Amino acid sequence: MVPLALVYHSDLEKNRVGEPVFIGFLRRRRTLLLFIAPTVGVLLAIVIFPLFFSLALSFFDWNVIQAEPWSWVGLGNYSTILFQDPYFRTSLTVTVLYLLGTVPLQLVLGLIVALILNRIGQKIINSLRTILVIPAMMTPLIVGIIWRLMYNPDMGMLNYFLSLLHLHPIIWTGMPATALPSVMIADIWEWTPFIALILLAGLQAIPVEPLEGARVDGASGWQTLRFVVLPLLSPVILVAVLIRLMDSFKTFDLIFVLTQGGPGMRTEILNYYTYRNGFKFFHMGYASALSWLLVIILNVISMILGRTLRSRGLYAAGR
Amino acid sequence: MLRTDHNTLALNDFIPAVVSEQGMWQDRIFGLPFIQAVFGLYYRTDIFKKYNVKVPQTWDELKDTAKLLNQKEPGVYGITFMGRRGVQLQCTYDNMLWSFGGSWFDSKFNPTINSKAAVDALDYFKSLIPFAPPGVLTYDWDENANAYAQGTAAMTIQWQNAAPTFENPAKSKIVGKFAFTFVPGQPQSDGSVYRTPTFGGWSFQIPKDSKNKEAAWEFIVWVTSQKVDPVLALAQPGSRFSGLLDPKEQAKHVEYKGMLESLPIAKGRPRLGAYSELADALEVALSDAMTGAKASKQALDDANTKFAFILKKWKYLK
Repeated sequence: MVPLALVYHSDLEKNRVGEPVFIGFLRRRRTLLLFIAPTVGVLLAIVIFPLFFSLALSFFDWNVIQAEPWSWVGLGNYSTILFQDPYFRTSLTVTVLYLLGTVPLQLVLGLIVALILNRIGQKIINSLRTILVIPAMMTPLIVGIIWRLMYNPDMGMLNYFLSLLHLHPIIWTGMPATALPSVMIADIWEWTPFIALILLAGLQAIPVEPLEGARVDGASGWQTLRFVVLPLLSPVILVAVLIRLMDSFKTFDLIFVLTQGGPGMRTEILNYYTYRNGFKFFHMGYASALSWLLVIILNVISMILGRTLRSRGLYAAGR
Repeated sequence: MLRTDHNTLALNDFIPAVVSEQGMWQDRIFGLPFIQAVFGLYYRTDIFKKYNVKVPQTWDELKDTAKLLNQKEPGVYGITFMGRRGVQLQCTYDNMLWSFGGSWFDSKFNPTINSKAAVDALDYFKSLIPFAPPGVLTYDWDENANAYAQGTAAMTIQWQNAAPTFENPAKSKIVGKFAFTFVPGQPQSDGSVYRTPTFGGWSFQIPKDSKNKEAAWEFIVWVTSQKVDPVLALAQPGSRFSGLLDPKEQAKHVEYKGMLESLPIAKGRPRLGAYSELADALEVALSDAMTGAKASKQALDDANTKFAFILKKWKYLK
């Protein structure tokens, strides 16, 4: 084990005779490498290896509970999913609806909260920050369980309040029309504060001069918001939207606890459908193919979004 | 197995239907049954007595009784059941499907889940919804047991292992006021009633590559033996006649008598590798039909198509 001091010894700075540059590079940074090796090892084992394993698996047909080994199907899994599986299309539709229902609303509500918070003093913000972060820090499963109790048609809080207002109780997670909105509400509750905090940080970083300039020019509050604040905020908005989009696509806990994909297939989002195929029906190859399709779709969406948002706002100004 | 002490093994003491379902495959014994669960009908003895109602024996009688008792007591519905999309809904439906004469598929694995019997059974199931609490379609095992324990319904169709919840004074308002008997059935032309309670359970099996097969077998024989079975039965019911008939057990668990009656005629779900997928397709169809999103026939037709697809994929069907 080379003591830290020796790393800087001039002798070690030079490449040894015949030694490739890269190996010399590594040799000089032995200690550094030793420190980061455990983390890299863990990342390789937990992230990189499964990534490629599942990619390989998606080209085979493998059922865990049958004794047969993997059998090659090439793009067979992908073509079945895209062209023959009606459940995949339903699932994709549900996922798109889910994304359209949660992300924009979270963004708007988060923005409103952030704008309000921006006007309050710093001390209050600091104490509110802890409260705001709580929903996002909670285990998603717990969030699901709490909402399941609240949505309970006989004993839940929501129907209780409805009864106080003499309104008819709603079977939140049981009726086809209200099931998906119920899940969306729980999701919005969970993540809006998080978006608000991200946007608040962005708002506080906006320089004061453009705002003062707008005021001098006689812009109304709304005009300032639309033409000065939002464009300046656009990188932060992009980050927030991308984070939420990617996470929303992978929602699982809420569906699992609240509706199990039901009624019918009204809330069976893609991630849940993949789980079913992989861990209930044990079609591992098929489930891997589904997962990779999810990755591809997400990547495409992120690219489109990134490009759209970058063409406006701050980036368009050339900064 | 030849070296096992037959007195300890006491194969005859196991309920035959249970052994054949849980422990045997193609006429060979592979393992021994352990914990069992079977569907039955729970009914409120106090309400039945008050309105002088007989215990329903057939499905039609069940519906009439539910209709009669619905809202007779304030806040008490006729019947409750597990209506949420999931395995419980499917198990409840199976009780009806099989007694109506339907089945998931025939002996050649052609799916028959959209037969007339199946559609009739589903229409019957749907007809119970008006007599059940409004949230019934979100009820899974816990919610249904809870609803019944809180006294919101006069009857429920559920697994017998909900009875301890109903007997627990901390959770239940109906301690001592209910009884457990078999599920209703379909009347047959010879006057008998054909019942097919759904049944499920756990058993011990030894995997092929086990390294300690002898030791495993000894353990299995011991843990399911006549000595240990009743001890374990204090927590979960076993599969031996002696365990279920024991008067101490019967006193403690009011549902054992009903269980003893139901187990010999109980029917298990298909034991195929494809079961999970088939069950899921059926559950989606049931959920669609029960919530009114699709007509019964339409939902079951879709399920049937999916069954054919699944059975072909698993190579049961050519």
